[in-house]
Amino acid sequence: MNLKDNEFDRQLREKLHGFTPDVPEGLWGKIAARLDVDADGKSTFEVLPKSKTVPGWWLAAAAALVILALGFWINRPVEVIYLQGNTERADGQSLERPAHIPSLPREDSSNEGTPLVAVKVPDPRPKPQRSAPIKRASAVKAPVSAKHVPDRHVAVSLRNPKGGSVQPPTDTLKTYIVQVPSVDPPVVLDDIEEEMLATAPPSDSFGAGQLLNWVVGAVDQRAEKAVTFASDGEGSLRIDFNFGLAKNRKKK
Amino acid sequence: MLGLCMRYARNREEAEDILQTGFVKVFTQIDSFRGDGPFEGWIRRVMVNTAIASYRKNGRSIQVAELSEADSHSHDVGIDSLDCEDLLSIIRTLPVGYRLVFNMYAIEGYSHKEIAEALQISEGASKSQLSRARGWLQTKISQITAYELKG
Repeated sequence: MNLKDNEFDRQLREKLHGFTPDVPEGLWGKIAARLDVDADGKSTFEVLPKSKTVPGWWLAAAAALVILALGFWINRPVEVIYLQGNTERADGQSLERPAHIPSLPREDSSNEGTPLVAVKVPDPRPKPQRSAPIKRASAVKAPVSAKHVPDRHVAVSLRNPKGGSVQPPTDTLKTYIVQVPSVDPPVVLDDIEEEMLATAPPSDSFGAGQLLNWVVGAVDQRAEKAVTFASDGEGSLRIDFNFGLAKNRKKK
Repeated sequence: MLGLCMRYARNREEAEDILQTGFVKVFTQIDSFRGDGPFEGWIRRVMVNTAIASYRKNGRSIQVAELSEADSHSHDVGIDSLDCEDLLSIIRTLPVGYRLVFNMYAIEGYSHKEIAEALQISEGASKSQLSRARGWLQTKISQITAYELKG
């Protein structure tokens, strides 16, 4: 590069460096508009996606909803089972027996006040032979229809424990032979199996308290929980509030 | 800055487009200004890079055909007699590659190494194109000044 080239470049540089053409109106507005679009992250610049975090109050509301639903389910109305027979209420009024339940014949008025013991008379019919031992009672799922089970005739004689048997009324022995539905279980168990069932420890009740504690633990990550649930032996749900924890939180 | 963009662009509309894009980059990438030089110099560099990117984006080749050798470098070309608009019009008539190299070297002060990296050409090609562009401009300016003197 010779000196003439340098001189030519210098002359051009000086001439063009000072050149400031008029900027058209609206050019800065266009730049501002492009900056606004870019700030929205739609054109030039990559905007990191927002992390999808569930708000804390959503978790608390969901936990409260679950707790309420479980509470309603646990305290749901239970079907009332009426006991058969004449009973007296605490206020002395007698409850009426439903019409479809037959009443037993009443005893002779001469034996009133004497406790009676019912003695089962052996069934003269032969026992059904068991073909094969059944291991588990739960294997039978289909309910046994009452109409397929023949009624059994049970003869009952009344005996006075103080001695002497109570004479039935003078009518006839037919009065004491009543038809009762068969109460045989659908599956006949061995004596050993019946004993095992009778001596088996009671199974744990429904762990609603454990489930609720798990829900509270999922929301409240602290070691000490503000609310704890427990189930007692009778199946009732007990709720314990840790008010001390709430007070400490207010102080903080 | 619009004058700078007009030296690199073929017309005013293209220059304004380069200016807009360049200023958007200035506002959004201002964090990359390290402060080791004048702020105006950084903005000029952004504009030049935007102009180069604009040519690449439009698929234009920076490598151009050979210019015919200028016949004369010896006489005074008479730059002083021309105004800026006329000089810009002459520079715009240069092919793209020559125009970029000449502007970057002669006006902005880039080295041939920087130009070669920016345009992805060899340093030798940068020097060659600069020499041819300079000779071609000198010839054009001489022709115009001679025509005006006659008239």
